[in-house]
Amino acid sequence: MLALKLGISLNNIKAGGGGGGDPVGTIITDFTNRVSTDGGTTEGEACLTTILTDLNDLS
Amino acid sequence: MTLLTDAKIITTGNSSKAGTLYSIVPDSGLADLDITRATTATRIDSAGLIESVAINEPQLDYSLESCPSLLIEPERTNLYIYSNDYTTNQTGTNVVVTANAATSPDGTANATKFEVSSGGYRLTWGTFFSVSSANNGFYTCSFYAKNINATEMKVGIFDGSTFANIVTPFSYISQVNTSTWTRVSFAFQVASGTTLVGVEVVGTGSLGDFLLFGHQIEAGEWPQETSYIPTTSGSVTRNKTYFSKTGISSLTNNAEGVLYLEFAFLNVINGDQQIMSIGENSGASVNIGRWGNGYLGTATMGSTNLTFQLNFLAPIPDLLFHKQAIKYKSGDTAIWWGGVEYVTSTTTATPANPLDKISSTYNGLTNFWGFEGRIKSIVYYDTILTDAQLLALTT
Repeated sequence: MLALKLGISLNNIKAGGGGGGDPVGTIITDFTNRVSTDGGTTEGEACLTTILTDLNDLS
Repeated sequence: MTLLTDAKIITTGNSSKAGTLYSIVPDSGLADLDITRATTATRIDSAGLIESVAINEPQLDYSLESCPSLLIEPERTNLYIYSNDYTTNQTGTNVVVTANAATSPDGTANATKFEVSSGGYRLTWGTFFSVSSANNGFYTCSFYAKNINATEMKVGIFDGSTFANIVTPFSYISQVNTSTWTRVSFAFQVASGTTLVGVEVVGTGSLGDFLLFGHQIEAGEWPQETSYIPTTSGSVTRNKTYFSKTGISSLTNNAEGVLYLEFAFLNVINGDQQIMSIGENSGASVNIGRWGNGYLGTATMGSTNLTFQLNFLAPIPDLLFHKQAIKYKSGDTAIWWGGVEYVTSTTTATPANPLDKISSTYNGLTNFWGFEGRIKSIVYYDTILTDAQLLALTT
């Protein structure tokens, strides 16, 4: 109810929504670091950003 | 919350090493896929070049788009020995052949130049390629070509025993140009009793200068080329790729959920069942893929198919990427494709076993009805989504 009074929909909280910044970018940075540490490689980061951004835009 | 933060598994064709395709979600690595292919393979890389990949290394391929996708191909054998050596196992006349004359589709200077004068031809000679009429005798011949100044470019197939034409040399010059490499491909069928074939790589009637690279002849249940398989003195087989990962039950829910796949078929010919799944052949699985000449989606819970209509033949399959999702819950199951809810079911069932495995096979079975195609993304949710969400997700 408090959320409604504040005009905030709990269903509209997106990744990183409370902390600002670039949530998808943070996810990708963490992911690529994990991959790199494991000896793997990442390519097509712009494409990955698009996929994750599209999902993050759907609530 | 969003469809990003709600997802329990997100896998894309972006990050890999030999034996692994990494999943973005979960970040623990619990859903990183194990890749199995006991042979090397090739892919088209981000620069558009043919590149070799190691045993068990995923083929992250850019053939269709500027973004990568996981390429999962059937097992194929290149019967064309010396696939890029046009000075061995060949004969001809009125053709000047110069090996290593230009940069090829693999980015190195190993393309062969042909200077053809009137009456010129060049064809397989010595060791011909073994074929049979199995699988209806379907074969596909493919090669890369680039024109220089030719006014005609032809290719043909002949019987290696009788030397009769199976495919009379035909013109493909309209398919190629002088600035980029083009992969030319055509299907042919051998009759019962035909055991050997050869290729007229410079077909009678060709005239002028052009470049060729990487011939391939492969048998298959459907006629279409797959990724290039280099050969030298013998034929070479590229095994089929599979993926799987077990122990994921902590990420899944057998009572309800959504499995989403953005994928493309490799061909439009009616073929085998080609399916990926979450779950195992233990009374609980969710499946997406191909059934004959259509799309498939099933959810099986407690030995009951929640969706009875296993396959839907409309829309007509093509080679483009499409988005499909299956929502499963007792009494509320649906298949969405391209923003349309195609199939619904109100069948009820009691979930039996956990969904403990994700794999490129039907029902999680080992190497059974394995998926074939290109996968751009796999996303899994452990609760059902609303119709509005499924509409947005699959549009």
